[in-house]
Amino acid sequence: MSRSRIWVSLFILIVVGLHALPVLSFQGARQTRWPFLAWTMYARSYPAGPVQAKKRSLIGTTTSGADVVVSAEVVGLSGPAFGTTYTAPIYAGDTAVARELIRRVNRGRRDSLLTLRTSGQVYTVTDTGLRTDSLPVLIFHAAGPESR
Amino acid sequence: MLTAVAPRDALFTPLNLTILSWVMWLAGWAALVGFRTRTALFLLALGEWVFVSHAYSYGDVHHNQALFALFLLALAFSPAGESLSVDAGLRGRRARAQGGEVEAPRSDLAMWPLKLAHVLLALTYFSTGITKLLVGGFRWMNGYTLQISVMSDAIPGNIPLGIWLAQHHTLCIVMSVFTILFETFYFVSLLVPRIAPLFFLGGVFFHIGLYLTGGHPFFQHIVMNAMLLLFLDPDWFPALVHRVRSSAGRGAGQAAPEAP
Repeated sequence: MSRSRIWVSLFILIVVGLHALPVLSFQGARQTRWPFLAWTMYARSYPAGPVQAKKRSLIGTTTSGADVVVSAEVVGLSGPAFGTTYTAPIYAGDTAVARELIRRVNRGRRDSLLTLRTSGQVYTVTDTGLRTDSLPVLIFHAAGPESR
Repeated sequence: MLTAVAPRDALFTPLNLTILSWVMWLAGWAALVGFRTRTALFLLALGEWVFVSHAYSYGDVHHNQALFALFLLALAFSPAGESLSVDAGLRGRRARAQGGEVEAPRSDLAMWPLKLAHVLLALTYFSTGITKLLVGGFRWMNGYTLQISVMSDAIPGNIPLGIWLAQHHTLCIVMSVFTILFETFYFVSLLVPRIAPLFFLGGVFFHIGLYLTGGHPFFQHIVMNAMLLLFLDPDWFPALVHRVRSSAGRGAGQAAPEAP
């Protein structure tokens, strides 16, 4: 084996071997050893208990009274980014984020949004199938009163 | 990096992105048929990197395109298009026109992109598998974890198969064990090439399953596993075809006397 091939092989082995670092000394979700990182998505486990999932959407009401679904596509973000940036904080009652979203959607829009409301369901696996319950509705205004 | 040399507003306009997507389409087709193969592959890889980076610049970084982007770039630096391509056909025609012989080219470097993809997949799967065990522990295989994970994707995405799977606890235990075994031990396929096709086939079905139950679009990983299955061992696929043909031939031979 040529000398250069040995060096290249050694380099590859070191790079591959360094991937053991984040695994052997795991730092959790916020890791600082780029580019050698462990991927934590879907790594969390859940104890035995109710199997539930939520379906959450945001509905805007315009000045003409029409209802508009405010989705990731409307805003121009990917689904997960929209969920993290807007859906989750708004469902937690964050009025500042809701107003920011209304402002963002209204930019360049003729029939602008006056209010934004949450509309969601929680689905639970039961012995007889899926049970659906509604999530509480939160309403946010473009300006003025807080959510109620 | 690009914005260091030109203003962002001038670069990322709808017109520029549309032009780039057309260049990528052309480069993709040229790479597929093997016309100016390596240049086409380089342009395709570069375009893919720009589009993926651009998409990830809006607050959500994912990973399903990363390995394939690296693989595409590796292909551009390999002797791709030397054998079965428009380039090779044109070269052969020129050689014959000059009265020369066309020799089948051989190169040690030809397999490097595939071997790189194999190593990258093994690293990725090991990282995801071992992280599940480190973060979630063996409880990750209790069935409830997969039920909740699948349900969390299937309900918002209206995915019927995922909603159905989330309601079957025992099946979710089996799928969880398969996931951990597949991801954690995929790297064994690097060390024991004989069993590698099982992992590649497992990878194809694993990602098809993820897509049908959770909507995870890992099409690039399906393509890479399928490529490794068919081409990593250059003799494996032709030998399999030969075996299937032989057994089909034997079956037909045995069945023939019974025919009226």
